[in-house]
Amino acid sequence: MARGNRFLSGSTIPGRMMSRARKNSRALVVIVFVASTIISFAAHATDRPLTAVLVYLIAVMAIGAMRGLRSGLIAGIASSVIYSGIIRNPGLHDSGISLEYYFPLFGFNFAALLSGTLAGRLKDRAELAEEARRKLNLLLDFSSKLQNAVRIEDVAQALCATASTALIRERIRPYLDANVAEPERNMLQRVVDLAIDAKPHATFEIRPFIAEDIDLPAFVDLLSIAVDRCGLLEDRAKSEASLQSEQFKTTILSSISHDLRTPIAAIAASATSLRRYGDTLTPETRADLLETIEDQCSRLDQFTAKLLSFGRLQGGVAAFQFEPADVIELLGKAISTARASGPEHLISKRWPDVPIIVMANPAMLEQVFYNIIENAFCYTAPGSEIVVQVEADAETTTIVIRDNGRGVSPDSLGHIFEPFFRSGQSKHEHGQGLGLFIAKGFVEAFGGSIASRSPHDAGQGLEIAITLPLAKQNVERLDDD
Amino acid sequence: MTDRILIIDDEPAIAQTLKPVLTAQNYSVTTAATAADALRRARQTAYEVALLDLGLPDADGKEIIANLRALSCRSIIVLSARHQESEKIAALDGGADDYLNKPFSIDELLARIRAALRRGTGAAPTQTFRSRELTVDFATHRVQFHDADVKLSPKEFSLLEALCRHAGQVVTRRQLLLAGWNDPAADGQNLRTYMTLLRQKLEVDPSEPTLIVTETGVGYRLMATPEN
Repeated sequence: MARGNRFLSGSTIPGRMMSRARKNSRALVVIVFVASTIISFAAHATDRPLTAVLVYLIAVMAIGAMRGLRSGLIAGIASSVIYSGIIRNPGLHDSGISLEYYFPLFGFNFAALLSGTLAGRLKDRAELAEEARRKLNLLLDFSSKLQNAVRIEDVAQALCATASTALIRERIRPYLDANVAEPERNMLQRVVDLAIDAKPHATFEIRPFIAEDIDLPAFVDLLSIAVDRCGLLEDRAKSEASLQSEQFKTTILSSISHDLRTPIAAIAASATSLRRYGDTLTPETRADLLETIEDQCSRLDQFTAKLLSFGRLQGGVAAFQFEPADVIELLGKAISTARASGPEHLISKRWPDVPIIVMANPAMLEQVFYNIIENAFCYTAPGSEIVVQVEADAETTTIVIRDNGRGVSPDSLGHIFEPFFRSGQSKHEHGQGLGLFIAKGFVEAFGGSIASRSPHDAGQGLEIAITLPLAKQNVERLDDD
Repeated sequence: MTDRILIIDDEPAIAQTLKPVLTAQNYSVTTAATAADALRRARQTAYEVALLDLGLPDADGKEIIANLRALSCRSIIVLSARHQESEKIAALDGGADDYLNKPFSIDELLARIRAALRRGTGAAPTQTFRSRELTVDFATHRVQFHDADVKLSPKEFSLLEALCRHAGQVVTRRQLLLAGWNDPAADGQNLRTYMTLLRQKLEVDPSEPTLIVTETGVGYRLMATPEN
């Protein structure tokens, strides 16, 4: 395969550019030449030699301007021969011809050649400039299409929109095979294959430009720059993802170490104080220190329970066997447990006094309820009311837990179910940002969904709604006598 | 006579803490750090209560429950840091009487030990159960809650009787199904319904039970101490 450089030399008009217009212009040239010969002959015959010369010269210039250098030159030579041989000297056999006789003849010949050549060269330059402009436009067009390409598929799309399938298949692909080295060739060939596959029914080409219009090396350069950029973008996305996962791990570790160390520090300080200075402390202080130890131990216990659940979620909850579980019973249990840690909160229960059975792991479902109530405790003032409401229809049950605390900002609302997320500036010291994440994970494992709404009431409050599918009921008739 | 307690736990901190506390409560306390050690001691002496940690270095705690039982331990309370309900159920089905999650409070532990000792006296079953809030006559089926008569269906009564006879101890769903339906494979849904009915009759706030509490995933526990 020729390396296509013929199209890039820029010094000749490409030979294949034989369009219909060009064939028409060839016929026109012949007509112009014949007509000018006849007129010139007639003018000479009627003794108007100046007119004869001018007509011929204008015709040669016109032909050069129309058809370029070669045609201009041919027309010039032809007109000189005809003029000097036939028009000017019908009796060439006469002897004794003087220098005065030949001078205007040479003058005409020279002028005809010069004008044909000049006009022709001008025409050629104009055509080259036009061709260069067309190539440049194409490249610009392609380049702007490639601008937004971020994936290999986008590059193929841009190629597809710019070049015809035939051009891609017959010119670009062979060019790649011959001129581009591994490993870049592989990527480019992939793009080319994708572009060819992208339009298998290419009966209509929107821009069916001809092969010669294309500056192939520049075109392929653009293509490979775009492919390189896609590769870089992909690498960056990968490294960002791994950075995020690193950050996630760091967050987990720093959160865990904070949430473990804080209670341990309090316990250690209390225990050492009691041991070293127990004798000098008042009974009230000793009681306080002992209470601190107890409280912090239960805090540690709760945190480790959450970590265990976090681990369960990471490992996949599907492995656990689900059994019928009573939502009402488990809510009651979760509320009892929560009350022990926040006796100053009011909880109002609105639910039917019949079992509502779902398929779940009961301990995990209890933890879901506990976590949400505990979260409500964290973000509401003591004494404020937390509403727990349960409704059921034929297929599902919905458990709504609503507080009237300060609520969650719209920015944060989408994040409250993310691990280690804590809402607001006043990060509650007892929250690890795991409770709602675990709740969501467990609920989804049970085939349910969880949603949040805030604020739901006069600019405040957070509402969490859990929807779970009901288990198929099968209750025997009660034997009440 | 002081009751003997065998603490089987490889964690020295647990034994070191529990031994003085239980001794101060007038129990005679022995400790064992391995399953082999525990079985050796159980062969030598009869214990009223064994506190058994399931994660022992030389054996799974569940595997020695039957042996301990056969040797001389009257009651076995499982102490477990593994919060897996299936594990607890397996231990209870394997012959343990009760379980306690680590970490636990000393009050809780003492209450469990007392409940185990009551059950393990070997005396003939009593005809009545009487606690601060509840009186149950097993012969006449008469039930009083806070001195008011409560009418129970036969099935409700069977379930309550099972709970009363294990007062303070966990009663698994399997045990309750046996008591109420004579069939451990009966539908658990029915059990739930009857427990709800019982609570409506025997709880101040049935939505947050304090007398018949749920041991999530395992069973129920009657939180009442019989008076003599």
